[in-house]
Parts: sequence; C-alpha cells; structure tokens
Amino acid sequence: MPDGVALLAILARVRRRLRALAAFEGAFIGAALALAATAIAVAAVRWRGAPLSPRGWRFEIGAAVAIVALGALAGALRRIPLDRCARFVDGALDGAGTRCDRVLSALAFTRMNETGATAFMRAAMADAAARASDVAPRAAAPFRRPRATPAFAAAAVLLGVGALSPLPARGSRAPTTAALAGTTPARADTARVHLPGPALDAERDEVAAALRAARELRDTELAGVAQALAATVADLTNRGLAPADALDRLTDLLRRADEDAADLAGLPHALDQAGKALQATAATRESGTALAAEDGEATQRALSDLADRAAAATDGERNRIAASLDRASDGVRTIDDARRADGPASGMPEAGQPTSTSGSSGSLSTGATDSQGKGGAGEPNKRRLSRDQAQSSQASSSQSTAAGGPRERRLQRLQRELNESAAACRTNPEACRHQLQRQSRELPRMEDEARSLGARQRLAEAVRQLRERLRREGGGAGERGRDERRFLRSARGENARVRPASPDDGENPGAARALAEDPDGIADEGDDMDGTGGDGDTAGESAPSAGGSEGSPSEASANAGQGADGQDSANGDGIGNQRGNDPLGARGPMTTRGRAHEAAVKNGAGPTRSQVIQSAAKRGFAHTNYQSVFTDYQAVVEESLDGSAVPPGRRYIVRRYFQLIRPQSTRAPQSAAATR
Amino acid sequence: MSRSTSAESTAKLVTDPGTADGEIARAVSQFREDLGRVRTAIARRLVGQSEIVDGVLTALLAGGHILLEGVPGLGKTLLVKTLGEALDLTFSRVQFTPDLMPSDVVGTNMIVESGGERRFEFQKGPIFANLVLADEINRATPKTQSALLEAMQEQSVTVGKTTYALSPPFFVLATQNPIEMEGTYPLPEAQLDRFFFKLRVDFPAREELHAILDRTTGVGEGAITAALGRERILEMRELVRQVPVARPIQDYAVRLIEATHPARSQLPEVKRVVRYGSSPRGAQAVILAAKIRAVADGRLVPSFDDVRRSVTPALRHRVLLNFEGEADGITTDKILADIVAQLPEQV
Repeated sequence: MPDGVALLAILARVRRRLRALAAFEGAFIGAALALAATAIAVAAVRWRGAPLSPRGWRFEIGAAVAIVALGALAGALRRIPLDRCARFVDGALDGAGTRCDRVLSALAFTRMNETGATAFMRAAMADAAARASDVAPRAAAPFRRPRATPAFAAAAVLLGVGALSPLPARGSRAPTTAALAGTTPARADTARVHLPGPALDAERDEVAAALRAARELRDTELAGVAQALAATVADLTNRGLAPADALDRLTDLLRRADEDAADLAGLPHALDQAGKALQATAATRESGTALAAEDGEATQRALSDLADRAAAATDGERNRIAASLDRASDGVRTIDDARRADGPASGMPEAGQPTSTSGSSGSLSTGATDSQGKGGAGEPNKRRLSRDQAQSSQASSSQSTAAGGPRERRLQRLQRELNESAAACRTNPEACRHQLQRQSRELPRMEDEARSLGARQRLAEAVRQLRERLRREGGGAGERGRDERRFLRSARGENARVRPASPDDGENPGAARALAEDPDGIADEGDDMDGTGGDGDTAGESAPSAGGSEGSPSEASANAGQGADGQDSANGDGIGNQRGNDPLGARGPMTTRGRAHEAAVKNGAGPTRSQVIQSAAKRGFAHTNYQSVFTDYQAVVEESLDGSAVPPGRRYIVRRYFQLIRPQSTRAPQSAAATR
Repeated sequence: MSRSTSAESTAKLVTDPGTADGEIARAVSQFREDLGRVRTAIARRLVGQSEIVDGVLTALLAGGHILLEGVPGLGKTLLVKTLGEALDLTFSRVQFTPDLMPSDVVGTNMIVESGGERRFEFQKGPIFANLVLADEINRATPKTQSALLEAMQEQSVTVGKTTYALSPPFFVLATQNPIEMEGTYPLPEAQLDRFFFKLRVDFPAREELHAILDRTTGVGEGAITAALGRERILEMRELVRQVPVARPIQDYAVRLIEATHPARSQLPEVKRVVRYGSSPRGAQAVILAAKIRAVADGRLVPSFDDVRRSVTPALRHRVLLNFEGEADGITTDKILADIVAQLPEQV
C-alpha cells in the first residue's frame, strides 16, 4: 500500500474518531443546556405552584432530547481538517517528548504535486506512515473529559437547587380563586358577618309588623317572607353568616317581597282618592272615611249600610250617591291615567318598590364598585353584589312589564265597579242596593290587598336596608368610608369605643354625622321634638360636650355615652339607646332655706334617650305626637330622596337614620311611600 | 482539488519508484553519528557550553558564520581551536585591534624577487583558512571589519584586480566583548545580518568550572583527533540542503519573522519597542537551523519545535530595538521569547 494512501487512511480513521468525540462533546453541551433549561422550567413550575401536565412533561423531555441531539449533530458536522488529525497522531507518536511533526509534514508533502516531491519527502512520508500505522485512532484521540463538564455540573446543581430548594410557590403567596373557594372553616368563620342584636331591632320590628299584617290579612306569602327575614336576622345575630350567603338570602327575600308589588301598585292611592271623593257627599262620607282609612271592616259595614239606605232612598238621594260614586270613579281614573301616562317604569315610584329596587340597584352598583372587600371574601362579595344587582334590575324590569296588565285591571275594575254602582243607583233602588252590596265585599278585599302591599313594601325596604348594611359591612373605603363607618359603628353602638378624635366633629352640620359622632345628640334632638324638632347643627354641636372627650380612644370609651362622669362603661346598644346624663342635672349650691334632701340616683342608671322620647310621646308630654312628627318628616325626606339628586349611596344613610329613630310603637306606621 | 483527486495524486507521488527511503535514512543516520563524534571530540577539551557547540556546528553545517559574544576567558578561542582540530580544518586567528588594516586580514600584494625578476605576489592573509577566529572584531575599524565581512558573504577576497576564492568550508567565528565598549566600533546592522547565529557565551556553572580547572591546571590537555574531514563536512552541508520542510512549518517560520516587524506584528510589545524586524536572512537561518537540528536528531523533517529552538540565536542580532526598548532594558531575547510563546503554530 502506498505510504501516502496509508497515511491518509490512518488520518481518516482518526478523523472519524474525532468526529465521534466532537459529537459527544456537542451532545454534552446540549445536555448541559437542556439541564439548565429543565432547571429553569422546574423552578418556574414550582414558583407557579401548579404541577406540570403530562403534555408539558412530554414537551420538556422532548425538547431536552432535541437539544442533546442537535448538539451531537452540530458537533459531528464540525469541519475536522486532516492537519488536525495529523497533529493528534503526532501527539500519540511523540508522547510527552519533543514534538517531531512527522505526520503533519508528511501530510503536507502528500499535497504537493508530483514534480515537487523529492526523495526526502517520500522518505518522510514512508517514515510517517510506518510510524502512524502503529497508532490506533483511540490512542491518537483518546476520550477525554468534555469541556462542558463544568457547565454540565453547574446546570445539574441548578436543577437540584430548583427542584429541592424550599422555593415558596406563588400559590402560597397569593391564594388563587380556587384556593379561596376552598377556604378553611376557620377562615370562613372569620369572614362571617355578625351583627349585634340591638343593631337589628328595626328589622325585627318590621318582621313583627309584617307578621301581624299577614295574620290579619291572612297573607301566607307575606308571612313566609317575614319569617324568612326573621330567620336571617336571627342567623346574623347568633351565629353570623357568610357575606355571600347573607346577600343571597336577602336578595331572595327581596325578590319574594317584591312579587305582585307592581300588580298592586297604585291601588292604595286609588282607594285613598276614591275615599276622599266619597267623603265629599254626606250620604257616602262614612264609606269614604272608612275606605280612606283602609279599614276593611268599617268599609264593609259602611257600604252595607249605604246599600240598605240606597234601597229605601229617594231618587234624588240615590242620584247624589251615584254622583259621589262617579267622582270616586273619576278619581280612580285620574290615578290610572296618570300612571298610564307615566308608563310602566314611572309607575314604580308610586309603589315605592320599583323605585327602591332601582335605587337599591344603583347603590349596590356604587357600593360594589367602591367596596374593596375585607379579607379574602371581598372579591366574591363584590361579584355577588354585581350579579344580584343585575338580577334585581332584570326582575324589576320584567315585573314592571308583565304587571302592567294586572295593575290596570285592578284599577279599571275598581273604576268599573264604581261606575256600575253609580249607574245602578240612577236606574232603580234594588239594583243600587245589589251593586253596593257587591261593593261592600269587593272594596274591603282591595283594601286588604293595599295593606298587604304596604306591609310588603315596608318589609322589602327593611330587607333592602339590611342588604345595604351588609354590603357596607365589607368596609367602605375612600371618601365616603369614614362617615359611613362612623355611622354604622354608631348604629351598632360601637361609636364610643372606636370614636376618632377629630377636631371638626362638632362642626359637621349633618344629622347623620351628628349621630355618628355622638349619640347624645339624639337625646338633644329628641328633647326638642316638640313640634320643632332639632336640627343637625344642634345635634352636632352637642357632640363634644356630650361625648365628653376629644382625647384618646380609651378616654372616649370611658366617657362616651355617659357624659363627663361616665363611670358606667355601658355604651348602649345603638343610636338612641344610650343612657342619659345625670337625670338631676349638675349639682349646684342650695339657695333656698330648709333641709336639703339628696336624691340617691346613679349616673347612667336612668332611662335611655329613646325611652324618654317614647314615654314623652305616649304620655302626651310633647305637644305633637312623635309618631306624627316622624311620619311627616319621613314623608318629606322620602320625597326629597326621590326627587333630588341624592346619591344612592347616601340615601341609605338617611333611611337608616330614620329607621333608627323610628317610633317604637306596638304597630309600625305606614311608610310615607305607602301612604302616598 | 477534491479530496479524492488529491489522494490519487498523493498516491502516485508516493509510489514513485525513484524513492530511496533506505539511502536517505542511512544518510541521515550517518549525519547524526558524525555530528555526534564531533561533539564528543570537542567535549573532551571544552567543558560544558553544549549549546554554544551545537550552535557553532549548526552554523558550520549551514554555511554561515558565528558571532560569539561573551566576556574574556570563557573559552571562545579554545572553542574555535578545538573545533579546528576536531574537524581537521585549517585554522587562523586574527586579533582585531584599532590599527588593524584590511590587508592584515585578507592579505596583500608584495614585491617578490625571483630569478632576478621582480614581480608582485599576493600574500594571503589569515582569512585564508577554513576556520577563522576574528577575536574582538568590534575593536577594529569599520574598514577592516568590512574587509572581513565581504569575505564572509562572498566567500572570496578581491585584492587589486584579482579575486581569490576562499576554500570551503569557510567559517568565521567573530567574538566581541560586550562590556568594554570604550574605543570599539560596534558592528553596523548590515554587517551583523551576515552572521548566521549570534551566540552568547555565559559563565560556566560551578561543576563546569571545576571540570575546567581539572583539565587546564593539570599535567596536560587531552589530545583531539579529527572527527570529520573537509569533504565530509561539505557532504553534510549538501544533505542539510535536501531536507524538506513542510509548508505548515515553513509558514510558521515565516510568521515568526513577520512577527518581529512592528508593522506586521500582532504583538503590542513588538510594536512598542522594536525598530526593525528580521531580514529574510533571518528566515533562512531559522529554517536551515531547524533542518540541521532535525537531521542531527535523526529525523527527516524539521518540526515546529526545531523552528522555535532556532529562533533566538538566529534572530537576536537581526531584531533592532528602538530607543524605548533600549531605555527599558528590554532584550531581543525577551522579545523573541514572547513572539514564540504567543504565535500559534497553525492558523
């Protein structure tokens, strides 16, 4: 075999060996890269807190294998010149001694043209080929540690650190929605809304009134709604409710209470108008009075008497009865026409319910936007509120549209009944009597329906207020938060404990602010309720002195609600329920002769301010009955709320204020909206 | 040319029946043996200085001349005398002094009366010898130095209108004292370039000094027999010229030479302190020296290492430092070492 060819063959083998080693080197580099990428992926997965899916793992493994294969391919495809192979063979031939470069020189000689080759060159090639033939490729290019070993080790360490280090998962730092959904019971307990008993007295009163009305009217649906509200109030007081659960229950109650409200809307007003029209004639005055008072029994009795009298009356007298009935019918028609002109949507305010629903929805929307939530349940509550709002609006809209027919039928039937009665009275006495007898059965039924509607509206209003309170229990933030939180704390009887020391407390003229700042202001206001009532300024200005302290919260706690002495730390259970000041007033020097008898009284042991107000109203100490004053003022306030641009969120505060200062009578008064 | 075509061409080349691998191998082997004998002969009288001896023999076999630099008393003259005896060559010594005239070196025409007839006859100077020791060459005037250097380059002497060829092998060993520069005439660069090697004779080591004392203060010095004749030296010179150099190795030598030039070098140090780089004679010297080293080692081709080992003695007097380099005390040996260390063998 020629020396040159043999030499080239040897070098070719060495080159294959070098290519294999280069492929391994490339694969090793690729493995280091894949390892590093895997380490990053593992760390990312651990940080994300969610396990990698099987598909993800397959992709990860596939990518790693591909990187290794690409590295091997890149290494194998690298250009390996024969000179480099010759150097490897020379290295193997010479060992650690002096490099002789025989093979390299011989290779260079093989590339020369034929004429340039000398005998010395051929001899050199033969010498190199002979020597290189003893060198195995493995010896020429022995396996050595890949240069990427440090990188591989570093990547392996990185992978180990990424897989084993206690890296906190993102999920552990920020709980996901799913994690929130799976809140532990203890956490759920902490998120429950729990209201003190006295803070729900208004709702209990409404429940009691609704139950009485349901019993009187035999309205099972109203009784069911009232009992459900009573259960909700009891749960809120005793064990507390999750905000979302409470809102769900109240929304359902509101929906039930609002059922048929649109159907009956306008009926009380129409009956009132009809009654007033009947009162204009002496023959029908008694019936009109009973009708206007929505007294079913009296109405039935009066109409029955009127029927008997009409049967025996003269034509002229029957004509006057007929004219009176016509006027009553006209009044009903006027109401009906006005409602038709206003349309279905505008008919809602008169019923109170639709407007309130709309207003409530607006406030819900605002509140839902403002509410930042407290604790982990804030976001779910907000979403729930938004959903409730949408449902409530949807229900109101559908009710107003679908109830247009029944509402018109009720009013038209009333109008028709009155017209037919009038016509009958003009024709013959027997027909008049028969028709009026029918009226004596129909109109009381309508009165019952109107009373039921009023009771439902009051109940619905109570539910709406309670729902708004629960929403605000989430902790209103922003500009309105401070005032409302103070008010709500006052409503819960906590104002003295957490009362902030604000220098402008006494300068705020708002009644609600005054209530929030100082419950004693209520007493001052209540004392003035002799027909003039108290204004907010008075109430507000009395706050510092009555509150007793502008100092630290602890001082405020000690003195609040008890005046300056404040030895009894009982803060009361709500607005108007705090004990009064020294019932005998400040002690002063005796200016009269005789023996001084000191009354043994204890500061703070007297009646509460609301008790004083109630007893004063009952015993007639006040010039005007408190219930009348309250009803008049509440009606004006409701008109203002409906007619002016009062933000829905603020309406709640005003309504809550009136809810808290309501007369504590045995029978709750009709709301202003219901009486209109 | 494709790889297969190259392989076929290479195959034809290496199967040339004219190849006489055995003869060449034997010649190289003989070369190595002869050179070994000379080394052994010189070592009998000269203690140590093996590098100097190898350098001198390399220059002799390459047909060049040696400039020995060293302080007095280090055996420079002894080396030349011993070399003359070991090689069985004629030897002459010229002590260069400031008043030495060129004719004192090369010879002169003198009137000779023979048979009643007067005629001019050329009287050969000491340069007409195979081995010429030009001792302290830097003490002579440049004119005299030029006479010697012309003979070194041209291998001939011209007196009047007659040119006299010098008998090969003509080998000059010039010495100069590096410390006594007063009253000397340093060799100009053009003349330094004509020396194949410039060797520095260092002070012997302690053991070598003991050996020197033992040999020189005793009864008598050992006799040296001639190891090589004139003809054999010329054959060896011819053989050296036939040694091939692979292109990668020659390319390395060329790049080494280029690296000594400030304009072409990639080394910042060279650009900073070197004024002139080596001439092509330096490359010739490097390659020839590498060949001789390879053959002397019994190899057919020189290696990169042979080139590296030849660089310093072949180029140290061909690389000229600028003022900055001189002022910084940088030596050409250091510059060359840096170049060798940093220049890759293949690009």
